[in-house]
Amino acid sequence: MAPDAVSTTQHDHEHRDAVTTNTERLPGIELIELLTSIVGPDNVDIGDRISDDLCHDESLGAAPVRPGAAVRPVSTEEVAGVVRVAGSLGVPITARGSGTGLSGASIPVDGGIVVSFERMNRILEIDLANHVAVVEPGVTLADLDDELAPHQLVYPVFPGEQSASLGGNVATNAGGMRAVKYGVTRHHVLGLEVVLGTGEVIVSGGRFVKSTSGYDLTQLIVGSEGTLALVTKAILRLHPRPAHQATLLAPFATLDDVAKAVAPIVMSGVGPLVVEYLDVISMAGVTASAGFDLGIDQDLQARTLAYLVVVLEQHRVERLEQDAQDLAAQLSELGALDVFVLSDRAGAQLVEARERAFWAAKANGADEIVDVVVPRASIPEYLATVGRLSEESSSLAVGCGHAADGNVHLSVWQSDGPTRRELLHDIVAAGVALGGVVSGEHGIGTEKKAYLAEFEDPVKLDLYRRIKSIFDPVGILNPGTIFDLEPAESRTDHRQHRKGAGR
Amino acid sequence: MPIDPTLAFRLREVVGAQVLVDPELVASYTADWTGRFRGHTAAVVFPASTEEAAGVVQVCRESGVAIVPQGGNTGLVGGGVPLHGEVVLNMGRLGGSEPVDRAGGQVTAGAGVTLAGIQEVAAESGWSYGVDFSSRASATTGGSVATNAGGIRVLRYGDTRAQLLGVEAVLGTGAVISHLAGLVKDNTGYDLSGLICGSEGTLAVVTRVRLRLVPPAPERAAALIALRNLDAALGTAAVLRRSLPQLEACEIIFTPGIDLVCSVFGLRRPFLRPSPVNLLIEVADRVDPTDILIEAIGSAEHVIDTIVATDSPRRAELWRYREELTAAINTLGPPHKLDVTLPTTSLAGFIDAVPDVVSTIEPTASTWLFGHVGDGNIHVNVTGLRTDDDRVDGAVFELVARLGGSISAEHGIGSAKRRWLHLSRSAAEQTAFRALKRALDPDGILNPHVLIPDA
Ligand SMILES: Cc1cc2nc3c(=O)[nH]c(=O)nc-3n(C[C@H](O)[C@H](O)[C@H](O)COP(=O)(O)OP(=O)(O)OC[C@H]3O[C@@H](n4cnc5c(N)ncnc54)[C@H](O)[C@@H]3O)c2cc1C
Ligand SMILES: Cc1cc2nc3c(=O)[nH]c(=O)nc-3n(C[C@H](O)[C@H](O)[C@H](O)COP(=O)(O)OP(=O)(O)OC[C@H]3O[C@@H](n4cnc5c(N)ncnc54)[C@H](O)[C@@H]3O)c2cc1C
Repeated sequence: MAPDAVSTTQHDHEHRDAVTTNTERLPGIELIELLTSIVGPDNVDIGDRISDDLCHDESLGAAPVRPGAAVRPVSTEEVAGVVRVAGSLGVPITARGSGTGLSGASIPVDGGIVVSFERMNRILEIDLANHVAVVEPGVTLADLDDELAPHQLVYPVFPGEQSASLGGNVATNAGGMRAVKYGVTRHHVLGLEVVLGTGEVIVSGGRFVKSTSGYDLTQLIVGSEGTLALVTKAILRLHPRPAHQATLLAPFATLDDVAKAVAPIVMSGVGPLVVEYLDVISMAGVTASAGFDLGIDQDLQARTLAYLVVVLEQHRVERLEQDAQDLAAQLSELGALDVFVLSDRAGAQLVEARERAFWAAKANGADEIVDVVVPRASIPEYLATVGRLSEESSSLAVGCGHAADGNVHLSVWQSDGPTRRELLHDIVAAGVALGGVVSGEHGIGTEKKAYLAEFEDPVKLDLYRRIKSIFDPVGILNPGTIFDLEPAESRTDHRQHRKGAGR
Repeated sequence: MPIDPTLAFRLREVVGAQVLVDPELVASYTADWTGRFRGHTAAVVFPASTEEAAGVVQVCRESGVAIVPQGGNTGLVGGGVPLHGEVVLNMGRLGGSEPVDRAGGQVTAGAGVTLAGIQEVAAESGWSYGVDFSSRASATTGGSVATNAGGIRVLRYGDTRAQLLGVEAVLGTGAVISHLAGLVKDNTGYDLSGLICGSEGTLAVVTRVRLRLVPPAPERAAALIALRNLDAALGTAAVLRRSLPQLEACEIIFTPGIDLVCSVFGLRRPFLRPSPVNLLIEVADRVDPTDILIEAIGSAEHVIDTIVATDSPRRAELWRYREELTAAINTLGPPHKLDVTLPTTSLAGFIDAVPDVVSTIEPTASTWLFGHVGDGNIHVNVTGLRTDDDRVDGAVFELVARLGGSISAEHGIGSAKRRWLHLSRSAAEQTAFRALKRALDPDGILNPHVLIPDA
């Protein structure tokens, strides 16, 4: 594989680091009038009235882009109307939830329309008998959780950022720390109402947990990053909320030992809620930025190379205590240097701090975040390779991640653009060589599509394009996200153009 | 119908001698397990590898011949038999699984491996497979993926789709796509494996599957609970589901069904006092769950009687009342099998109404109800109907649709329910289905008479 086949988008971004309003790209009067007639004048912004917040997501490498217009629909009918207008004029649409995405997928298209779901933020129903929540896409995870807690129910998908919207979660198939027990967003979406690129509304699924009656359009839309349809309603599966949690922290001398511990823990049947690893630098970073001390003595710290954090949950206290005891014994047998059963407060603090690892890295000036996933047994080998690669390029890559899913989150420090791109490419390639893929949970977006183009089977990419053209025949829904609408040729040009760059 | 010699020649070029054309030999591949669906074929082809399967698809495509993919032929909706003279592509020889990835808790298996085969391979490695149902000895992984099969453990582990980490499959074009890396988290592009899962052989021929395994839960206890009435049973099921994370199965069986099993298989009746409705539940854990089970049952209301079984032979005895029911019903003649799912809140109304719906149309027919009540899944079996009389089917499906349910919970649409797909899926959805079918199978050679109604 040609090593210079690096992202074309990243290349473009260098010339586009300021948010500018390109006057030639100002939307036509006709478009504005049509949009206004659908959502009302208060809910259409153009030009400089568009908030800067709408021009970017949280990906570190992607440059912001100012859209031609931003609209805030309040109903499915309004969304459908906006899509029809955009379709008739051929203007691209980018759906936007909370903009916490990490792959550039909600960054607008130059001159396009941003459909912000901020006003479609109602929890329509908590159906206690069927254990189902029906929500509009703009509802945040935090809001939903607040609503569910009093009913002793939980929507169990907890990606690191609770301000993310459920529409965004569905579109990115968000994962997070609790996937080891509950799976990812995909496993909890029972049904959807969506607006296709034609403006047509489709409802799929329902308030039942299983159905096999035709193709699973719900699943096809989950994870499609706003490229197949706009989600206007979601039926989500809820679970009983276990009342008690325990957090265990185990320092290990090698990453190998950490990785080897994961399978036996999962197999033991204690049903861990969270199994995270943090290397020592990440641990130091997250605890320092959260302002607390684990209270582990210096000598032990010096011998530690990585930590494993395991959270357990149970409906009954006695059972939780038994599980925690058995797990502690097992961790010692598996080579943990020590095992700490944290107090409720310390446990919660640690998990919360781990969730904020991204912000800690960002505050410390990290240049890029990696979301590669490899088979979980390959984590040590993978991290060893990453360590070597970053050393060779005088960069720093440290991380933490979802140990049980093989999902590695690395923060990379390397300020030199070309060196960084080369390193990132090699880091991804190393993951793919071990049987992994470029994105475990953040999605491909615009930032990683060059990798997908490079490493994914062209037969599949071709199918993706055909599937997109079914749901979005005009190609207005988030075009250029996940893959370019047109394959190959233009990319070949870029490769030639880039030959030798940075080498 | 004799096979076109050129086609036979070309198929043999791909799979050697593994082409059956003798009418007597093909017979067992042309009728389904219930005997309700009987077709005919010129040839049954047995590929032994993905390449051979792709070769067969290519030959058929070039010859303009339709294919019915077939696994263990245990499907219950007439989706795996050649009702219109299609060539049968039997996947039984694509057996064999790779060694279990112990660290990852996953396995890659050929589409022809049986459910029992996967369960065994998993158990040998210390893991367990999350799906189980009583046709396990013949049903294949390929067939269970194609139908998104459910079974008795869905409550705890989800349906087949929830186990599926990826597939390798031959599209209708003959192209092979593969997604077998087995990554639990994988957000790279559209979920093709999830799309193929449940597509009943109409989008692609599944050749290999990557499945997640679950931790074994070696300590088990089962209970047969006799309850005073339906509401009590549904209420108890809901409470158990909420309070027992160890709950693995929660099945509902009505007493006429138990009586039938007893008389067909010569079993003893479980309870002295007759009860109208029974729940069969099983809990499984890493530590002995018996006490928790007994406590939970103790807190349920309207329980008439309970049998708790902890050791494996006694549990198996209890399970016979449920598992033999399908076979027992089949002794009464080919049943109409309607496998539907409802929102929990509509279950009681549905169960109450169904027998009347049936007897209004055909007073001499009998209705047998049982199912995976924990998932809202009820199997409505109707005996005493002609195989081609589908008035009852339609009436029951309409009731399901009115109550917000789905006309197929786990068996699929096949050819049996195709006419009623509109009750569960809108015109817009069906338009999308047709377009998806064209994208993956442009010439429409894969199971063309299944699932999607003729336009
Ligand atoms: C600190 C931090 C930690 C994070 N941790 C995790 C983690 O652990 N796991 C994880 O998976 N992610 C994580 N993320 C990433 C992010 O939170 C998720 O991707 C989230 O799902 C994005 O939701 P959003 O509402 O912010 O979506 P946005 O960023 O607004 O949009 C994301 C994508 O979804 C599309 N979209 C949004 N709404 C809709 C809709 N209604 N219909 C159709 N498409 C829509 C957009 O077009 C875009 O393609 C983290 C992010 C941060 C900042
Ligand atoms: C006694 C009994 C009990 C049952 N209990 C249950 C139950 O509890 N839950 C449940 O869900 N089902 C149940 N079933 C139904 C049946 O066993 C399942 O549907 C099973 O998954 C079918 O597998 P099979 O290999 O026999 O497939 P087949 O019957 O051969 O085929 C079924 C469908 O899948 C397609 N197909 C098969 N193999 C492939 C392949 N490799 N690629 C593409 N398409 C393919 C066929 O074309 C057909 O449309 C039961 C059946 C019986 C007889």
